[in-house]
Amino acid sequence: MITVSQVSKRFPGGTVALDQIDLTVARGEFVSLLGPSGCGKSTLLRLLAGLDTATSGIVQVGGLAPVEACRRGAIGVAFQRPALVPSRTALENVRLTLEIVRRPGSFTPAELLRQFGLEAFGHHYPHQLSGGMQQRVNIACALVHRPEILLLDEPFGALDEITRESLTGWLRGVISATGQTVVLVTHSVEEAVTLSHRIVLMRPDPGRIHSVSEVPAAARIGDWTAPAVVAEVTHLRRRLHGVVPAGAAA
Amino acid sequence: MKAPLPFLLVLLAVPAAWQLAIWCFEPKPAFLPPPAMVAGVLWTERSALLGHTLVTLGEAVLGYAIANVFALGCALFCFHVGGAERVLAPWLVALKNVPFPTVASILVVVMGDSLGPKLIVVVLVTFFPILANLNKGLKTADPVLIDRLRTLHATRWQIFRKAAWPAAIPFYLAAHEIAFTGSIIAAIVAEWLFAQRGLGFLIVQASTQFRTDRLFAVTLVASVVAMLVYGLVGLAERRVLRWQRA
Repeated sequence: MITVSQVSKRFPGGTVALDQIDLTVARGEFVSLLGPSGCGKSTLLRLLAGLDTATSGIVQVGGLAPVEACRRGAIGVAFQRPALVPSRTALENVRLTLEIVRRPGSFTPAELLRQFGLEAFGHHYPHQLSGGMQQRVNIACALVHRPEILLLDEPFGALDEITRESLTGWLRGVISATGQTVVLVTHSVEEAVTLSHRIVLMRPDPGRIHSVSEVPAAARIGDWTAPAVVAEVTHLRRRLHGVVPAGAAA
Repeated sequence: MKAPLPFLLVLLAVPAAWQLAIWCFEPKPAFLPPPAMVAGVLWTERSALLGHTLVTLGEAVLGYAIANVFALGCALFCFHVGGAERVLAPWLVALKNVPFPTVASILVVVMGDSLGPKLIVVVLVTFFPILANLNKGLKTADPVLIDRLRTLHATRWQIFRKAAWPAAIPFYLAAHEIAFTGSIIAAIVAEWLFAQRGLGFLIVQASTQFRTDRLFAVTLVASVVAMLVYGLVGLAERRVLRWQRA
């Protein structure tokens, strides 16, 4: 479904954001990119979203170049900061996606908001919604045209811990219902563990894949305090400490 | 305090201060005519004043509409063509800083007492603030929103319509507050130089006849028109940006 082959990304200043990245994501798989700041997670996501181009290597989404996949409406993206038009209501913001890309089988915006528990807030403007609600609208905007692939760039990064935990559970429900292939960029080990089938651990200078690990099914649950989750989080956190450059954690 | 109340205060305070000054200093009516005298002129010459006001207003509105078309066209061009703003900037700055009374004089000499010079003066005065605000507003479009639209393979025009234009609207409306009222002043100044009709013409006529009462009457009419235009812009702003108060 997603193939990244020998991909490098060098910025004009000479910074190598990604170096020789190889990654495959199967259809319906949920993969998280985890790692310290500057390890190229967001750069990799931008390459998958067709927002940037690789300096070398091949990126394919559903067998197509990312820009072509975007043209076909196969990709939905939600960023950390909700990409909402402030003068449009929540409902109108979700409709905005369909004003640009029309695909057979698209969700009805009002119905999607109802499923997202935002039925009563469809006519609210973004500034009238809480951060968590804005993020749910943001994800609805990314999902409404029913793309095969959902790319999430730290969607809950700006939210408090409790809201983040609750929205992670909510997102798991949404994804299991829609069956999309998801690539999530996150700093949260808990988020990665409880949502993903696989976790790609990245390390910086230059951005490379350190390791890829399967998440046991027992850890993909809503309760972040469950022993299986805690054990997996602890295990992953230890490995994460290993990829943080010396002195960066101080 | 509700928005119209401060304006009402101005309408009451100005004549009151004016009358007070007359009681205190007792100037000759030729220097400072009493409000009652000016009110008399406003009443007896109402139809002439209305006619001339409509002429000035017509020139201001037409010139302003042309300025808007040019400014929107230029802003769109700058948005769509990378580097266009950098190329256009020196031309626009030069245009903005040409003293418009001089330009108006030249235009009157070249084109005579026609509508053309007045419209050009209004356009020269109002075009730049509209364009500057539009360009600034378009640049405030949320880059994350633009990225979202790009991942949907939105065209440049769709990005303009859905992300950049909504961001520019508050700036565009703010430009009207300055430029629309400025268009009336520009039309009056253009008429001042050479015209047979309009408030500017009335000002010149009244001053050559030493009719201070009429000068005051025309000033009042011009001020009221400018305030009404300002109010109209405010109403439009409240209507268009009502989502901000939701």
